[in-house]
Amino acid sequence: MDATEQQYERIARYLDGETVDLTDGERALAAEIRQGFTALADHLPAAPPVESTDRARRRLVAAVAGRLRLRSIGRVMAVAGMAAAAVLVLIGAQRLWMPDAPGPIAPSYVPTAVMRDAIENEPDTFDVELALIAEDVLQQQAEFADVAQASKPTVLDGGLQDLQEELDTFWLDEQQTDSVEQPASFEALLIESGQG
Amino acid sequence: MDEQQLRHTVHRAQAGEADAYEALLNAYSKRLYGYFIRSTGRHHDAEDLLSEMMLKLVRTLKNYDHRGRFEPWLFRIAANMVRDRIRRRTTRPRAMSLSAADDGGGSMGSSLPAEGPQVDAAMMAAEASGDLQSALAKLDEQTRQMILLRHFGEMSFKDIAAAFDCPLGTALAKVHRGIKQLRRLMVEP
Repeated sequence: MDATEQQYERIARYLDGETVDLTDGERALAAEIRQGFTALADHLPAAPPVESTDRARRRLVAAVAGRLRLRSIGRVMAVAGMAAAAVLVLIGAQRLWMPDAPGPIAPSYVPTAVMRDAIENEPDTFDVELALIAEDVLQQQAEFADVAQASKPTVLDGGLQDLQEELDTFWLDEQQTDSVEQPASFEALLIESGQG
Repeated sequence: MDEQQLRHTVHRAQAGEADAYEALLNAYSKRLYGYFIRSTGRHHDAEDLLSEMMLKLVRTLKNYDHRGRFEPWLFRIAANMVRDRIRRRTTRPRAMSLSAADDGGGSMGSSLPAEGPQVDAAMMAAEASGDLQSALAKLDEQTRQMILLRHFGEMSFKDIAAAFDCPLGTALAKVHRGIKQLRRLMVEP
């Protein structure tokens, strides 16, 4: 039996799994179509040769690996870009927040220089106690620097050393050449004078 | 592969896991190859299309969301590839590119001849073995595709009608006539 367009539509919806109330004729036609596909199912399938599947598999694996490689490269580049952007933002923020700041790596002498500046140029506005402390610090630093710089013996050091050597030699000479009595100890003198 | 396994496998493939793609190949290679060889009638084309299909899957699977069924989506791409292959074979019989032009899911009805002479019937008849392949080659392209997509892709008639941009009743009428014709051709070649 052949059907009208509307009947075919109802049968199609029925074959797709919808609940449709079919007439006997429509039901018979639906069964005929279903049977036709069942008959074809015995003949239509065609298994692929193993080498065809293997070839497809090789190309598939290569494509997935290539895609993963691209994705990794993209990810690394994105992270690097984000890091660079973050550094730029941080530098910008620091400049905005501290416009007088010398930069990201401040040398150690800068605080001293700032204090000296404050002492010399703005004595009125600077806190007096802080200025005194700063002067103290500067003085200490200068003294420390002097001591640290004096690493080799000075002329004065040399003179003192010579004097010490002469003194040592004098006492040694006296002991060896003269039989001069050695001064008695304080306890011995007390015994001799009868006070002990 | 049941629905839940399939969903999980597709999800893993979308995350780029190679073994998930291999699982999809193992699950669908037989049906896809069957569809390709019954559509083109040539082993060489079917093998090429199977490989291409897998590459296309790697490129397009990210666009698939699991609201619809996977098989109709997969076979709609396959149908577009077959359509392009046949069209290229018709216009340039000796030059075949390995790349398919589009897989956007456009209507196939506009590009496949509904009636008239069979563009590849002679080639299919020459290479085909068996009565069924000869009988299929004698169907018009649209009817053959509808029958093959219903069988191999397990597409609903609603999906088939949408793919060929024709009314639901018309799609089933064509399929019905095609099945009757196949039976007759197989009995009386």
